[in-house]
Amino acid sequence: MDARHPAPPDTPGLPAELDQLLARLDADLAAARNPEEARGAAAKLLGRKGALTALQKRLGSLPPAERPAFGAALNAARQRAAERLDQRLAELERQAFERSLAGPPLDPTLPTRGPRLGHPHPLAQTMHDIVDIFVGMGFQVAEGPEVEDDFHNFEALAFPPDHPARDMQDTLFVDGPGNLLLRTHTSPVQIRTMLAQQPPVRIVCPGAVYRHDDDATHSPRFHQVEGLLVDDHTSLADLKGCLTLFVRQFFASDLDVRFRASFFPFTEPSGEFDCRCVACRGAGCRVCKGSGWLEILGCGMVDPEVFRHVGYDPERWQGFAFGMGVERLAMLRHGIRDIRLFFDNDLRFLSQF
Amino acid sequence: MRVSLRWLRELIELPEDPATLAERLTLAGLEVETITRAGEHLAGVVAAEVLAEEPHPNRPDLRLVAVGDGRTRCTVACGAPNIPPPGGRVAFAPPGARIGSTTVEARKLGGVDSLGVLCSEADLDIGTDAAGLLLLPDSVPPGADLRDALELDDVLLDLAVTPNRPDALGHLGVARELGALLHRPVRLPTPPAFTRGPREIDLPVRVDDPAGCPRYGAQVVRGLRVASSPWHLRYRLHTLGVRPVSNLVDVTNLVLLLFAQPLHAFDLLQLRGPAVVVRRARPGETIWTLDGVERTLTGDDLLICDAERPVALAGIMGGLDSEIRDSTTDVLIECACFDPRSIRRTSRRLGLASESSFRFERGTDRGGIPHALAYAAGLIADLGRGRVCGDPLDAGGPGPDPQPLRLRPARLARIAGRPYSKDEISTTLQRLGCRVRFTPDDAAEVLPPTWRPDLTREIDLIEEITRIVGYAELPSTPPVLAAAPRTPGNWERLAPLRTLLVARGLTETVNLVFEDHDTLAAFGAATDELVRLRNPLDAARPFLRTTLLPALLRDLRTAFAHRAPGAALFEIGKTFHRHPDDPARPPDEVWRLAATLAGQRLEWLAGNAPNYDFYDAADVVANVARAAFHRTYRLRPDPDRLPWCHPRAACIVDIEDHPAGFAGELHPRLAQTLDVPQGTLVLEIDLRPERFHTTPVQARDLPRFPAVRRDLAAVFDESVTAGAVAAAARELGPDFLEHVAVFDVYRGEPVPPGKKSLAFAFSYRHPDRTLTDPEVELAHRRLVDGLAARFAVTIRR
Repeated sequence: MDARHPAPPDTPGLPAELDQLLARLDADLAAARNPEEARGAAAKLLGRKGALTALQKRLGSLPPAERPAFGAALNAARQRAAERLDQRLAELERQAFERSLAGPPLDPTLPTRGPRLGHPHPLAQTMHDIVDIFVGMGFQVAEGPEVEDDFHNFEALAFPPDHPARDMQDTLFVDGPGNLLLRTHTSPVQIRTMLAQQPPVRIVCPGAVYRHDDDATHSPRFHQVEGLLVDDHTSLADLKGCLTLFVRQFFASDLDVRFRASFFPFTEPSGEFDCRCVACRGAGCRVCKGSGWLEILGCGMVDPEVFRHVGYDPERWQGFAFGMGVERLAMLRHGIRDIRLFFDNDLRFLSQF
Repeated sequence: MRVSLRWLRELIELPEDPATLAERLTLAGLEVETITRAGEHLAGVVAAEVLAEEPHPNRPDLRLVAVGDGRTRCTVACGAPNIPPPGGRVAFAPPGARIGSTTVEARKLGGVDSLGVLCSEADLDIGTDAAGLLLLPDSVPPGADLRDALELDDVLLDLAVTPNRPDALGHLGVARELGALLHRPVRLPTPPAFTRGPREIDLPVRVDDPAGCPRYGAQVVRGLRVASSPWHLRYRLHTLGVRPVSNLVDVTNLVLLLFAQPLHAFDLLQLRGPAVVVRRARPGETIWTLDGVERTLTGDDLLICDAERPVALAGIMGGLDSEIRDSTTDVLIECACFDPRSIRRTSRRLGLASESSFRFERGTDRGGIPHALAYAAGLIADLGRGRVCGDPLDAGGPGPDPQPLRLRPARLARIAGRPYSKDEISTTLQRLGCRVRFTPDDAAEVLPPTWRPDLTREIDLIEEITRIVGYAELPSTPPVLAAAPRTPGNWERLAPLRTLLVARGLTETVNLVFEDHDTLAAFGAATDELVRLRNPLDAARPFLRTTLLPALLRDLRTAFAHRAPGAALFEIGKTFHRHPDDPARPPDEVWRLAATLAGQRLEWLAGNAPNYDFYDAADVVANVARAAFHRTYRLRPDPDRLPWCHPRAACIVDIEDHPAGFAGELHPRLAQTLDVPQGTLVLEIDLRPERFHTTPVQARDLPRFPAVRRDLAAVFDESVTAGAVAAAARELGPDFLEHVAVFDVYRGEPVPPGKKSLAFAFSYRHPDRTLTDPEVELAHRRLVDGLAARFAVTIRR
């Protein structure tokens, strides 16, 4: 009994009856399985034909002195019944909500919905990754035709006719007039760029190239990324710095690299970059043929002869060029043993990437 | 080029281990590809003395030979024809000895124990002679390890010699390179001493083509006896991959491997005249070369002739008639140099390459001819016990004095990126054999040695200094590039398309570009647009692709051969189209995107996934059009122009009203021919740069007034496309018809056969005010009536 609901004055029999009614209501509410049943139980007290309504009707027949106490007791009981109902309804709602969350969890191991991702080709991806590194250094992408002529593919690159340097690149020729061929390297793009503009030039040239070759390490079509940087001061030391940076970024930052002398007809001095074998870390294995080093790319200072062919003054301009085989880099990076896998396009291979 | 370390050590002091030497050479540009060891394949094979010999009791083809290695006596069954008498020395592999991967064991031969094997050169893999036992000199003590007794141990370096370094195609050149790298002197090899006798024979040499043959040296040696070369010479040639033949021939090969100077020895008695004429061939003239082939020549081929006929293809191969035979007694040794380009042209044209032509076409040492010739003559005379007759003949001589090259130290520093001192410059070049003198203006005047024909320019000297001092001594300075505007090109345009298609579930392929005529023709190529290769790798596929699809469909076939339930593949690449009216012009190269889809879609639970159908192909087109071009696309049926497609699913793709490709289902018959699943979808879009969206998208204001939607469902003839209805609606509707969208297609009851029900949503919105219901009602009714009249349909309202 709280202060707001003082006990009614002496009304013989009534409190006990009200207590009984409320007790029954409690039992009915507890038994109610849903809001309807709960409301039905409450209606037995509170409805038009409910027990409290019936008691209310007795009010008029009471002596006036008893009426206030009787009325107060009834009101208190009515209010308590309504509270009990609200409590029970809230509880039922909470239970219903809890039930709505129950049930077995969904199976997250089922295949996901919607089209699955396809797969980028490892060659195309590697080529993009290489180009991105040089673009980040400030080089501009340049491309050119795959069907070339002798001038752009050989002559302007200081491959004289009848020179053994041409043996390094077995050529596929186009039938018919025009002396056309499939470019054996992407270097003609350098020539075309230099013929079209004055220094400074800084381009990176990705693309397909072709040679008369077909075995486990050679494909008749393969890909190169070449670069060219020409201005009035770029030196062999700059070349070393630029490509060391590239090799480290492409593979791993702590990789050992070495820069050694080599020969290409269109560069002088020429060099090649090796990195520590990514497979054996230099101990010597099948991948590096026991040497512990892997050839990564060829490079050199642009030969003055090339500058003469494109109308640059070799006394004023200088710079470097480099070129790398995308297949080789992709094979090293992904541990691919046979170059033909790239061109077989077997889904069992491609879907690994 | 394979070099013997033992031989190099005869020319220069080399205490370093092979790996160190190999690294020095590699870093300087003479790349050592492999290091192999000779002699290590033998273990426990010893020299033995023949003690006694008797017939085998049961085998008439064998003898029983008792040999002693100084400690024990063993009896060995042996079938060789040349068993030496007692006291002779033989190579003996006792039980337990190892030859390569074979371990010798005691065994019974004809019922008698044979304790080991007596060996021939070939048995031991140290030579080619398999005819009889390897006989050792009596000076070899019994029991000596054969590797020591015969000096078998050697280290062989395989060098990848670049075309600019003909000098390194001989041991002397490699020794000189090491001398320059290690600061050590090189000993020029000298022949056994000989005295020149009288001339004996008058042999005129005439060079008709001094450009083709700048210098022709020759020496007569007579009274020779052809025999097999001494052991060390034979073994040296064997380890370097040259088959020993006879003392005369072996010396020519030895000189080639030592000085990189090819020689040719003629049988003097077969030379008519005798005389030597160097001239160009007459067109159609023929010569039988040493390899037994008759060669037909052109006027460009250089010949060595006697007084009457060709006797050698200059610099490439000798003639059959004048070859050294066992009966040869007199030889003419030719030691010449030839125009590299001429040799190469002839060698290429005839498909005939030799160790000689390989060196001549790279350039030989004109100044070294007298020494190499004297060395060869002395050695031949010594080994064949003959006499050198008179002074050498020398047509052409050493040539004009070379002009010195100028090297500016400032230029060297600018190219290299670091300065080199005058002292560094002159000592480095001098170690390479150059003569160096500094002029008052601080430039160096450099006279390169005759064995370095590649040093003709200042830049060549700059390379020599940087590489001999070493690239490791260069600073490493990443270049600083000044900021400059970059214009995005094709590469930047195509890159997002790859990402897009991969995200849409397609897998990227990269294919070869070689195709056959019929397949290209089946996809609509005109024969005169095809680019044909003169020397294709696969004769069946000599043409460059005019469409990416045949290769993609082969990839698809592979996928299904491996039981893939479905596949969606694409390629972005070029196609090649010749100009029929101007075939000399380079062909058009067109970037294209092609895709093929077939089988089950790769999504959700595979059991529920439907097959790819035409609308998946259309989806790819829609995505490309949207992403690449930011433009509207349209697919319209045009089976007549797409005979390789199923006539019901053959659509031209218009991008902004220009045909840009097609999408459709592969024609069932072509699918059968190409062995891909029925229902395979194909599409190809032209990615010409001009189609790409280049200007930035301009944003529109967001609508400020509400839209009103009205739907329409009506039954149309099957021949009416949804696009045609939508287009008509846009034409017939009011200005404030903002959007038309088809949202349902239904066939079946109660729609009669041959008809379909299409449902459209029309969205009306005025940019400046709220539309009233009556005006929307009126406009929509007019539109519906208009459509009903145009397509002769009854509208269900």
